Amino acid sequence: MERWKKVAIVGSDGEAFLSSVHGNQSCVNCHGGKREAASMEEAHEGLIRNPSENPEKYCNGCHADIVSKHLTSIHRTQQGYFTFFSLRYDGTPHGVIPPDFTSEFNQECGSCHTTCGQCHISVPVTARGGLVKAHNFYKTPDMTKNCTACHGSRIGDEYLGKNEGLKADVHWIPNFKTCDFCHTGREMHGDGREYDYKLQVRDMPACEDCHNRGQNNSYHDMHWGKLSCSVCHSQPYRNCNSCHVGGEGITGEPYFKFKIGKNSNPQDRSYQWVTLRHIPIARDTYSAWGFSTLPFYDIMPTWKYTMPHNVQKITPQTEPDSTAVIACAGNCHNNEEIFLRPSDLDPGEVNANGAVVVKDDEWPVGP
Amino acid sequence: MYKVKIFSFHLQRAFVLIIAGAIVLFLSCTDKSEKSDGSTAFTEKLTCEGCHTDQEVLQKLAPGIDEPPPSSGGG
Repeated sequence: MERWKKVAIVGSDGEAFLSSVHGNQSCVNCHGGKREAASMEEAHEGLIRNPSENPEKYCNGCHADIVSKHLTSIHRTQQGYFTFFSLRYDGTPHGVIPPDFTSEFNQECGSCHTTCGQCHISVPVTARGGLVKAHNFYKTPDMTKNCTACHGSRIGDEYLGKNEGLKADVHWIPNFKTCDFCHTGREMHGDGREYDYKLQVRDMPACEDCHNRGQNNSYHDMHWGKLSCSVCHSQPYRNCNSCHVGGEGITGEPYFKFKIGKNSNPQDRSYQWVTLRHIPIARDTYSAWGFSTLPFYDIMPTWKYTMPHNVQKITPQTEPDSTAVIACAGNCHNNEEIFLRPSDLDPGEVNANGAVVVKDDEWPVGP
Repeated sequence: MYKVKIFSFHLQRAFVLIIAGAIVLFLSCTDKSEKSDGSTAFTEKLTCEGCHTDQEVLQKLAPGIDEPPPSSGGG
């Protein structure tokens, strides 16, 4: 994108902004800097690029309810990172996080948290910013310029069908079923509660919010409630390896796999069988920050419960055979390839995944 | 008498040209001027809106392309 366009308040969008409630205020009220100046540098002295980093000061006057709830939202706090670091570092979800970790995290990873403006005014900073609609404040975030600008490599590519050989999500209807079709503002803003990680969030959507078991569907009758919907209705998805801080990022090659495993967290979701995605955590992920290893690395699976955003009615698991009957045994029950088996595990990850891997006596062999 | 009229005619034309040139020069200088270090200074103070609503000024002040990184992280 041309740099000038990122800060331009021109055209019909510009006119709309300038006559809007927000546009009627002086720029310096929110952005600081100098209102009148003889050079760009002088004008930008003391500039506040992203005022909504401090929503209590700049947004609270009109949006107090949302601001107060958003302060504890995982979208803002990134609490999931701290919870899982704590679990792997000292064995408890609420252990003392070393100050060095917090400081390094804020510098290298903290810019990924959301602010009001990065969803409702501009492209997120991590995607290089830029006004979306000439500084207009829009209620619903733009799917590609806001949501998938951050959630692009897995969710965005899956949902939009950008992965070679795989279909887009069945819910993807351009300009209609965008992210907000399932993910509400209430879920995004937070409800004021403090959650340890995202699966605890009460307002997360579920397939069952819209879909019921149906009638005369023997497959649903047999599996409903025991299998997560994605076990049957997802396609292969991206898995990642080896993320290392210190600027390295993800050093392992991503790969596409579809793996069913046991649900190690039934308190979050009650299914017995779920889809699992390999996450890019390694024992030395944080070594560049001075944490050479994670003493409790084995406490959490590295194959994690996932909800792929590439849902289809007909998938390799539900594909009918030549007699128009779903070949239960061939597609799933005797198909070792789609289960997370001990042979799939890296030797260093065997202990970490004991709760999710499917052992010989647990594998549903048979018709 | 004829020579006086001719001289007067040329004088008027020169005067008009000088005035027109001065107006053009004035208009081209009021917006901005290049400083020796490559930054742009305005010959008169401008406001936030004065720059951010003016496409020509912005193109001068913020040239180039700034692409986002390839989608490699995030969820």
